[in-house]
Amino acid sequence: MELRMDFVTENTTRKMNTFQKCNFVISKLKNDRVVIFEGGLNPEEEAILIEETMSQIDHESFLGYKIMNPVPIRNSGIFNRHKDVKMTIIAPQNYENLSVALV
Amino acid sequence: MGILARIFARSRRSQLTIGILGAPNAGKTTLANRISSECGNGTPLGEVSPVPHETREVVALEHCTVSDQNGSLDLTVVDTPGIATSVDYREFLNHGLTKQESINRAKEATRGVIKAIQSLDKLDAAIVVVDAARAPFDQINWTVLGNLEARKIPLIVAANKTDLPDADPTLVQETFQSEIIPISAKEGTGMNELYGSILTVANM
Repeated sequence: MELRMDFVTENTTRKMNTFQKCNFVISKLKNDRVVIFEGGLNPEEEAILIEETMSQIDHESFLGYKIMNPVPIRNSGIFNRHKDVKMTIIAPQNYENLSVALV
Repeated sequence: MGILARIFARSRRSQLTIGILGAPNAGKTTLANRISSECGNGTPLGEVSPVPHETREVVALEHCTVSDQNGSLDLTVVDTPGIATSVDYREFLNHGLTKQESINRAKEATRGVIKAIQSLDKLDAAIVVVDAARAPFDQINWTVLGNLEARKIPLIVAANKTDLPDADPTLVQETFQSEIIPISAKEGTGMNELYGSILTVANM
């Protein structure tokens, strides 16, 4: 299966409310794309994403998703100040090799 | 009785609604039925099955009683459907269901997941059930824990299925970096420790 990833910057998601963010993710998943969110989703957003997903599963082409929150990456910043960059990776349910792709 | 114990004894709530939450097939309904048989009227809250998403409705049992030397706690136990990020009807085909039965079950399962998430707002406390015989890294566990913490709902992590040879409650503890209660809801082991934790939670 071809791997297609969309990297979504924090700058883009900052303008979205939770429901916009969730529907943005679901529309990407329905197009067989893996979404990488800079900044990640918080637990409440994850819960709403589950609810929205469950209401949109069609039992044919869209069956839900897999999600991973890898350990935040520590970036060096200006004047050696460190910033932890959190990311959330969300893949279509039928994508079997999510963890392999991330290694 | 010590001073602190007396303060807690006075401040403990007398009624608590506690939800049983977690991923599908973690043993939530087995635990709910165990609590019902040991502390309630013995009515099973639901069927137990190896087929995922057997529980597709939120079911509550009132008036389970948990006691210690400080008194009794009137417990309402809420058994919830397993929370998942995907529902694939083909999974049910492997358990002998027809395609139509599998799709119907999948439709009910998706509605059940929504009900489980919506039930969070009605809980005073929660038991998060983790299958100790499987790697506990499923993001669902983190999502559930994160949502309970965000809502300031006190929680207990129960590492279930310790009767199975592959069970590793230590790994569950290391993964969540918190105190866990190893239990076998099926065999009934660890239940006194769990009831003790419920009483502690009632003091919060």
